[in-house]
Amino acid sequence: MSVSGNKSGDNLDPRVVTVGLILGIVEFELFTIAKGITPIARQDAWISVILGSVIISASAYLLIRLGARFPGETPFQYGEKIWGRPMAFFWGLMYLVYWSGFLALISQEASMANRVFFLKSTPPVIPILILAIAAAWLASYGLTSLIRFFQLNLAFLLLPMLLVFVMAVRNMDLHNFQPVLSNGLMPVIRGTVYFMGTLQGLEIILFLVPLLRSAEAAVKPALAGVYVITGLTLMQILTAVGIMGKENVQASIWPEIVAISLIELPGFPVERFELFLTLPWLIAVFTTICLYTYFLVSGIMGILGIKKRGAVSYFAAAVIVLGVYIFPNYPTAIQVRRYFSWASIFFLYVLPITTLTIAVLRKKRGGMNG
Amino acid sequence: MKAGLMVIKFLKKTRFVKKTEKEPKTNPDTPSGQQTSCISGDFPAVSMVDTAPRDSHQILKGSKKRFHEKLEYNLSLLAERIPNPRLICENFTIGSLAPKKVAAVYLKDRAHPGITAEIRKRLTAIRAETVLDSSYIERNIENSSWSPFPQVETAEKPDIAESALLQGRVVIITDGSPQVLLAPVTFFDLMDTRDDTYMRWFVAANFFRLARYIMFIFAVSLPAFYVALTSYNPELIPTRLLYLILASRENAPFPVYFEAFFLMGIVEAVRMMMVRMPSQVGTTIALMSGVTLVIAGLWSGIMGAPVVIIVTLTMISSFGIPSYDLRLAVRVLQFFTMIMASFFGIFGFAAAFFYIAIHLVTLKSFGVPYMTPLAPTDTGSMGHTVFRENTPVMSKDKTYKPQKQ
Amino acid sequence: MGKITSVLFGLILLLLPMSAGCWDVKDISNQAFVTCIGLDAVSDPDLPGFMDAAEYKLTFEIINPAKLADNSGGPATIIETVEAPSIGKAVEILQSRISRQITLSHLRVLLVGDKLARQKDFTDPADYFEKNAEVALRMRLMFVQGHEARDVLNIKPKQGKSLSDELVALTQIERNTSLAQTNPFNSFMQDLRTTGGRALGSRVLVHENRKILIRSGSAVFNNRKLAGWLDCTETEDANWITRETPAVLQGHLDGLFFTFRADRVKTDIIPEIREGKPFFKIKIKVEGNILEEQGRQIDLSNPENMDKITNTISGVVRKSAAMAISKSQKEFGIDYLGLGQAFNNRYPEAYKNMDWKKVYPDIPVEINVKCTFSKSGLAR
Repeated sequence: MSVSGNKSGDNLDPRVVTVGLILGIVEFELFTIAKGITPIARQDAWISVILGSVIISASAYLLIRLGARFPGETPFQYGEKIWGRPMAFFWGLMYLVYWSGFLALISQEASMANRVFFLKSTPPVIPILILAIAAAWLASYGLTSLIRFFQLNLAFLLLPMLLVFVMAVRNMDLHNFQPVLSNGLMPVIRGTVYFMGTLQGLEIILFLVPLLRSAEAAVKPALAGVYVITGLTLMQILTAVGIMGKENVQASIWPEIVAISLIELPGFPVERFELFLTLPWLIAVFTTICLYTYFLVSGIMGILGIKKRGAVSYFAAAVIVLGVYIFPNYPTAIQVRRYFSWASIFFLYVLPITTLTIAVLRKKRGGMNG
Repeated sequence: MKAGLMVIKFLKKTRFVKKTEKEPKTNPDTPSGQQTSCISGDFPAVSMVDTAPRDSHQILKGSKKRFHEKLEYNLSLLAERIPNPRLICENFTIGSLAPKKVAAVYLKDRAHPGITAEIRKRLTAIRAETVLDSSYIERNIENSSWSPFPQVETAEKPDIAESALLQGRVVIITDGSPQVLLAPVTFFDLMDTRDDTYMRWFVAANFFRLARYIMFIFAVSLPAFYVALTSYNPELIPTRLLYLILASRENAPFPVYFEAFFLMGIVEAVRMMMVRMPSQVGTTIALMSGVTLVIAGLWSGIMGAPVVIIVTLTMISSFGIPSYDLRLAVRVLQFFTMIMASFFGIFGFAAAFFYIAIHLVTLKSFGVPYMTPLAPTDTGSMGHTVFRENTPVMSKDKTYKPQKQ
Repeated sequence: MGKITSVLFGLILLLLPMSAGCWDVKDISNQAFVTCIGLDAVSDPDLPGFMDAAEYKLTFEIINPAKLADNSGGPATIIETVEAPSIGKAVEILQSRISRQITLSHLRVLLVGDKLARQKDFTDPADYFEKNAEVALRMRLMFVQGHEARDVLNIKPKQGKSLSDELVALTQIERNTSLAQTNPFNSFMQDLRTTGGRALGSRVLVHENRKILIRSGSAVFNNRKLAGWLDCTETEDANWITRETPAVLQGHLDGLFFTFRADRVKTDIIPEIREGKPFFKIKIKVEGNILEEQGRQIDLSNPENMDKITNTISGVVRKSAAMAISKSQKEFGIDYLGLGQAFNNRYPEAYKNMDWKKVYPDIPVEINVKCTFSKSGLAR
């Protein structure tokens, strides 16, 4: 029914990369990253994050270069050209496993947080089912609609977090960041690697670049996206460590949310500032679930060659719902999450950059080399 | 009368370009796409009924002229406003039993050819015995008639239609209906009012526009939010406010969500009553009955005061939405968010928000995404749609602009 | 038709969970909001009917909506006392006495009795509140000197509908005075964790006839147990170092008796190592103005007089801060002023290698005070 209108199809403004990165990557982990990173880097966690952002922006640039070599082709298409059919198929399957695993993980975390904060005795499957159907519905419309959904929600994600940060600044104690670099540089570097591993969702660049009007122009927006995420992470770590101190960060499950709940502003008509954070975290988790559902759907269709988008979407929804039951308890999920962070390093940085190197060495290009 | 004659003479001089278009298939039952002259020679006479005021909006500033029920008169109103040969008018006749004239007017080179072609296609595809009102055209050419959101704007004022034409939109005029249709439409066009544009100071205009967006969000979510907080997460209510709510609900026999549904229903009933009653007594009786119900309810303790505040605020907020069709949509969405909140608390509230947002971003009006220019974001176009920028001339946006590919 | 079926399918899917009912709906008027809990040691440890002996005596203050609505005044609360082996059990027992669902979501004040605070490691009773997702961790924590927490809860509030309201209001005003120590639950727990059991808590006093409530002074914790009390002057002394709060102080200068209000106080604790031994420099910057002059008036527009006055004030502050340090080092031997933490931040290696408890009482401390006037001090 629809006209091939001006904004639809494979002609996106390169600036959408910023929004795609922010909402695709930011998820509930943003509120727990302080817990993961402070045992490693201690009070210097913020240095790790800044260091990490440099490396991540470099690899984001490389990912765009990789996409720009093969204009208009999906990662699955040029993957076959570079690695050859069987190898590309194998890597594709690995990615599918990685994505479904991650989807299950975040759905489990969303369900867990939901059980603690909102619905204590509702069977956990029902809220997740509601989210899963919405995610499958959105994912079935494709990446363009997904990006539009992200753009619509961007303000709702960023504004409350900024507001909360501004309110938290008063309560921070800089003494909690002393002494700087007391344990040498190694813990900071390990923290950097950990931070890099938490940015699951960077793959969105590879999927977005073929849809862009010009891949070259996407570099700046991608860097902006990485910096905004770094900024948000920094804000969270500053709030958590600055208000609570590193010992207490490790003692709580959701340090950032606890830190926010400690803020007190006399004369301000709101007592529980967590209220401001519920909206961002619900949005962040949901957009990430949507993005991974999309990855899974397009991955299954691209790698296994299945054409029925609807059926595949509902399969992805089933993965989300199953995620609630896969893990026996929350500590296991946290443990698995740690392993996933290390796996992410491989899937987000090592493999795509190797692919790019091979493509450069073997002089593979889109279009002419066909 | 003399002034009128002058206008007619002037109009006769203005040239309309007749678009001759070959119909691919001609159905004998419905002779559509017929090409006739836009102006039948005389400036049509308008009866007294047509000139009597209709007050769907108060007019603060700007022309008081409005469209009437005769197609030819409406066309000449547009021609009077845009005396330019690029103003194109395509004529259709729809209805097998009682055919009605329908005209699609647009500015050449401004309107996207894809959009005009799509409108032509959808208009010729209508198979009906007659067209009672422009709303019948509307529901036939919409992208999704299941969507609560209107995908075609209705307008009563020629200056609104003119502004739409200049933006590159298409005006569809139906004979016998004083409302013309503007297509395509985005959410922000529906939230726009004439008064914003005509306001002198852009800061005030932006302020009121922002207030309207907030009122829109209030209208959709306030009762749901109240139900979610009081029935699921009372810890998020400030303690002193909690005391007040507790005190007011001490003897209330019904749960909060029931109270909210009940009162929302009463509001709808009073509203319907006001529409049906003759205007002299209607307002007074509706007001009296509403006030009596609320006072009796409060006094007997059947309902609490907070819910009355919330529901009244919601009703007031819903009137901040200028478009009638959008207001209707919001009234129904209120109940959707409320149901979700009654069952799943804050989580359900957020889920309802996601479902509405997904629907909004996937909805398109004639190929234009509904939330343009917010999603897809086009900051260059926001000056005219989302905000009102400070420009000496009428600001134009690229939302409906043809793309050079 | 496909559209209709899909919409119907969607509707059924949406209605499916609803048919089973809403699990979590708990109407606001069916809940009993606990606003204050008093923790006490059990006077008579044996409780019939339980395997374990009762450890805690809990006194709950619960909002009574019926009295909230009536405007005649008087407290709108129900006070209930429960004895139980654990706090979780106590809440369960309380539920059997209250006809509404108990919730701790609006718990605002936690009062701890003298005896319990001295006997028990405080992390034990606090754990329940830290684990409970409903509890707002920024609730106030207060220790009752010489009495049981229950005695406090039995006092009639002077203003407002409940005692917890009054206690919260008092702590909010305290931002502007230095007579009392404000340390909410979470930051108290943080202090205990970071220092290994040392902290300053807020103190509540009950006047002899058990009618009047006074919030002043502070409670000193060591090894997670109550070690002693600071009265309001001692708290004021300690606040020069621990909290940068406004304070009112007095001084004498050649027959002039004046009152000075320090609006802005900035304290820097600078640890150093001199000849292998820890040494502290404390720099206090005070900014304020003269509130009143008695005995004789002095020309405040004269720079010489101003110098004299600032010197006097600096002397008063220095003396006061030195009192606080000697109290902490000599009398208690407990580092509740947080000097150890400052030292740890600067010299983590050295801190690890020394036994802070033994070293602390003999560490030399140097105090520098700088005083400035924010206003002239002249009338108007």
